[in-house]
Amino acid sequence: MTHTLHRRGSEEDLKHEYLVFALAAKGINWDGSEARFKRAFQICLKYHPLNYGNTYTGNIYNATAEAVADGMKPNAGFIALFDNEQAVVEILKELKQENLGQCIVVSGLFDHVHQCCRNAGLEPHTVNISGGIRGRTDKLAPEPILEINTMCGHALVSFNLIKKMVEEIRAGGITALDAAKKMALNCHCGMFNCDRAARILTSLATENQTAGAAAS
Amino acid sequence: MKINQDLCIDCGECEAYCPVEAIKRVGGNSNYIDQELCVECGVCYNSKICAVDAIEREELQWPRILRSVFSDVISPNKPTGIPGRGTEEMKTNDVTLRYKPGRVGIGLEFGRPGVGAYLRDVEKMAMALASKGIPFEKDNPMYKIMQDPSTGKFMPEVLNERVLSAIIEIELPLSRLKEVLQAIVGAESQIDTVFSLSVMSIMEGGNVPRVMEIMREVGLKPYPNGKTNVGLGRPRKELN
Repeated sequence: MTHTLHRRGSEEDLKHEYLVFALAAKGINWDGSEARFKRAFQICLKYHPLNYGNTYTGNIYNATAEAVADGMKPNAGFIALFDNEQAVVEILKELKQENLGQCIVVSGLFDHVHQCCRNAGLEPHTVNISGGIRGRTDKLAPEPILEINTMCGHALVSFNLIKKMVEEIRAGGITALDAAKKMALNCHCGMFNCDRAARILTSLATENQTAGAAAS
Repeated sequence: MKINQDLCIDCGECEAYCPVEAIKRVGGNSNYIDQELCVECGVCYNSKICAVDAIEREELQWPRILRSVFSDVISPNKPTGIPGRGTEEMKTNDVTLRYKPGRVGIGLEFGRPGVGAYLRDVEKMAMALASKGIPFEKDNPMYKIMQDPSTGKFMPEVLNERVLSAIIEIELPLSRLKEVLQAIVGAESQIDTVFSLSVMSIMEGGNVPRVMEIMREVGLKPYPNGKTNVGLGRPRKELN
């Protein structure tokens, strides 16, 4: 349900992170939605998503676009990740023009997403606002690790895998981008932003080196 | 999930993949999965990290199968009669109008990110909300495991099941949002895990600034990012 909602990061990072996804409602626009999802996905592909995916098929790192398109079901559309607002505007314009009738949700900074809507001639309909994480927050990992973890809305990239990858990067066993791609395989829906994850991993690996050097 | 001890070569590669630290190793022994902690999410199995295919799925019985229902996102159609983990909430609100002007939704997701939750903790919050007379979303799977939705009490046999994520959804008048958010914040000290909180509102009627204001009044810090339904959904009959 909450999926892309509780994504964390600085506003500067989030300015370059937009997720577009398509859904269907039973009894309303459900029947035959596979073909309309496929068409919406084709439109998204024109604007070079950083990642895409379908829960049951996989993401850009382990499935072809054709496999993702063919794997769509009424209860499993697609998600596509973009790093720029103009792509979102153009996609929304095309989707409006095609009048497919499927529900489209965009996750990202509200001000920016709503401006994208207006630039595409749309009025935002409904919002879901995160009030943050409550309860035993002492059980959470530190913020940079949480930023990577919440890139998979299903939280399938464990805190410990992120920590392990930081250690391996520091030891020179893997590049930050390859470590990010390794983690992205667990996020089947295609929401994981490897570019941002790699930047955070690099920063964590460098910090650890600095801390280690200071302690020795 | 379990690790076949006859096959495991004790490489330890799978340990870090578990989102809830259920894969253990004691001394020089092979890895094993702590069945109490395991939420049956299947991440260890689905990652294909095991070089010798020692990680195996087990056939789960009620109530343990609930762990898989609420945690494993890529294995659909489990024979429980419980469909998925949540609902489409606001994502299809442009065609369902579940959240109408003057009304809002609240979603509470327990266990994520990255901690896991016992259903007994989810029940505590459900009972706190029920005491306010707030009805639960009937299409949400949590409703199906409630023994008495009017009290928020769960079936006793499910309470010790542990899941990666469980979501409570409610819908209420905007006029009651502050009181209910206060009740949620007031009950959080009873909960031995994390939960992510969200509020859903239709843009029409200009309620959203008031929603943000109420969230701040009760001590919440609304994120600047979130989900927006852009209003492109149409009933098929309108398109034909």
